[in-house]
Amino acid sequence: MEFTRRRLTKLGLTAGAGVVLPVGALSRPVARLLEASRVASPEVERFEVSLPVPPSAEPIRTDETTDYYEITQREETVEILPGYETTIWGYDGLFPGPTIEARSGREVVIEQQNELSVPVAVHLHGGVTPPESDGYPTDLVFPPDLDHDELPGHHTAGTVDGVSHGSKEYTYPNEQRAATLWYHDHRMDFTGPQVYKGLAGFYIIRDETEDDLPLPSGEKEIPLLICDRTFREDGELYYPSLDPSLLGEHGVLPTASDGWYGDTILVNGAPWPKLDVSNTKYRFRMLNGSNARVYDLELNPAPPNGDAFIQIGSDGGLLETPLSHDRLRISPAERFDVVIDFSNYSIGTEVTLTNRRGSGRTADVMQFEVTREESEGSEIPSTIAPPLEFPDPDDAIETRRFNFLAGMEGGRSTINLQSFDSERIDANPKLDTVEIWEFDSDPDHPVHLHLVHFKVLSRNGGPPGPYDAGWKDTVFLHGDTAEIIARFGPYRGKYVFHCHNLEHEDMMMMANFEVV
Amino acid sequence: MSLDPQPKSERSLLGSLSGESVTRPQYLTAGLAFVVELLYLWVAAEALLFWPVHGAFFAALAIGQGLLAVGLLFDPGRWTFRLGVLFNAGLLVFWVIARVIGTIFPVWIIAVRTPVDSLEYIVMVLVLLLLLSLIWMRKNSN
Repeated sequence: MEFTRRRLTKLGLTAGAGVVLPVGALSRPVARLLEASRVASPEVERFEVSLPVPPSAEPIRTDETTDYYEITQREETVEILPGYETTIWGYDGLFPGPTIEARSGREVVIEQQNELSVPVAVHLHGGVTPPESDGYPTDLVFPPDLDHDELPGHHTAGTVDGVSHGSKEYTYPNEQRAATLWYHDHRMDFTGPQVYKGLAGFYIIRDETEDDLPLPSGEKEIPLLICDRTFREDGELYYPSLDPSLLGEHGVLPTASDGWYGDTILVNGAPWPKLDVSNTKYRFRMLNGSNARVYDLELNPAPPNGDAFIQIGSDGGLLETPLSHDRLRISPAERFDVVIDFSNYSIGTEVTLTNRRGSGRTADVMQFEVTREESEGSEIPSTIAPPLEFPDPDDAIETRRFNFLAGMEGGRSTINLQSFDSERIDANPKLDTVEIWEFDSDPDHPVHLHLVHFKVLSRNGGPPGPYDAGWKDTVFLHGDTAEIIARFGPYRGKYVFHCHNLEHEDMMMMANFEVV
Repeated sequence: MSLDPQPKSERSLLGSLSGESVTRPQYLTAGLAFVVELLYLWVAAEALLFWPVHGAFFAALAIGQGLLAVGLLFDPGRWTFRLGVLFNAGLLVFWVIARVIGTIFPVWIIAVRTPVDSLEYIVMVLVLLLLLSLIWMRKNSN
């Protein structure tokens, strides 16, 4: 072939238009896509770090009816992986945030101050809360120096209580049973990354029924916030946001569109921690604070006598009677209040809490070492709580059906083939009436209703599953059909229900119900 | 096919590099195709992060327009015009069908996120102009 000037010029332009330009334009997005599939946290020895317990928040003042708190949401540098510094967003700069200890019937008022660079919204998960304090996704608390107009319009549409600047006061009446609740960020379109960065904490309600029980308490009652995170090689958190500033485009890179799964398991913010225990009973308030990961927990070795987990409470509070499990499936946002009896193990035994759904690093969660003998000071009574008085299905005045469908890569996730619209009402139950809601789905969706607690009536046409006992506010659908029943109240107003796989939630798998 | 050769004084840099006579319509049409390529590359870079299949699709469209632009500058033959017309006409038809389906069944068509809201309409107008230009050039070359 003769290389004439014509031929060379044509070849050069063809190469430019066909290769150089496209490669130049696409190299950066391709690099971001590859990073998301290749990122791996620094190696950390498992079971070396002691289990931290989140501190309790102190009220700034109290009166006859109410405890008042101030919490500042701010950025902080902490050591999560030993030897590494990690930037987190925390309530009072802590991850998990400080635990709010509340009493049933006694009001709590929390002034949430926003010192972050983005808007926030705080939701008390499991709380029976008036709509203006429920943390509706567009009831944003802006940082003092961020203008409302700097966000796309839909981020602030359809509010319940309007937007605030700098701070907002949330009022929690706590007119509900003793239960393990948690509070977390709930900002429209950005719940996933903002919870991932650390905006989550426990909120425990106690009452006289629970006080009178001889359950493990004090240092033997421990909240466990289990979650998964991935870290860059410098120790900073990695989250595959489309827009890392969290001020523009929402959503995640395609590799995470079905949920972002971290490769490092944290419990109370520590990687694979260890807890020294005595050979007695311990109460663990387990919370799955992961964005998407479902855990199938098991003790290894299994206790030679008896069951691994004695469940005494669910999302909505104590069960009537204890329920034994060899394994415990816990999906995002669910809480299981369990007792583990370490008298089943000899002194010196290392008991690993494992995750049968995980592999490699994610197959382990934490470890208990039975280090000492103590006399048993607690017991699990055969009756824990008075009858739970679930609604009677015959009293239901309406049955509604909702289908949960995850979007294809890049697509929106939907409920009844509709993506979330903050100004559209998808159900309007009447105040203080009973309704049955039927859910069906593709896998996997932990479905959460704000305001109400419900009873799981059935799964796939049969009885409720082993993890459906008691009052629930989150029900896990693994391609299942589930029927729930709830009484809607005690407040009128607009609330949301949604998938608590936070990546699905941010891609619009959410809907409104308004109690009228 | 050959377009009427232009006098020496009207030869361009490209013409002197390639030894070709490149007419103004060729430049304009090739320039249109090239601009469409750049716009598709811009969309592809955004779409790739959102859904790689979409991104790859727009990248392929961009490369196609770029190769068309180059082909138009170097003594375009019958097949250059035919393929160019088919390619851009097909693109327009596909876009119209996708818009109709997206309007009737909004969740069935995944909306491509573009850097600028009205960008897709701008691009399709340019594609239409490119198509018309190709048809005009083909007619005038006969």
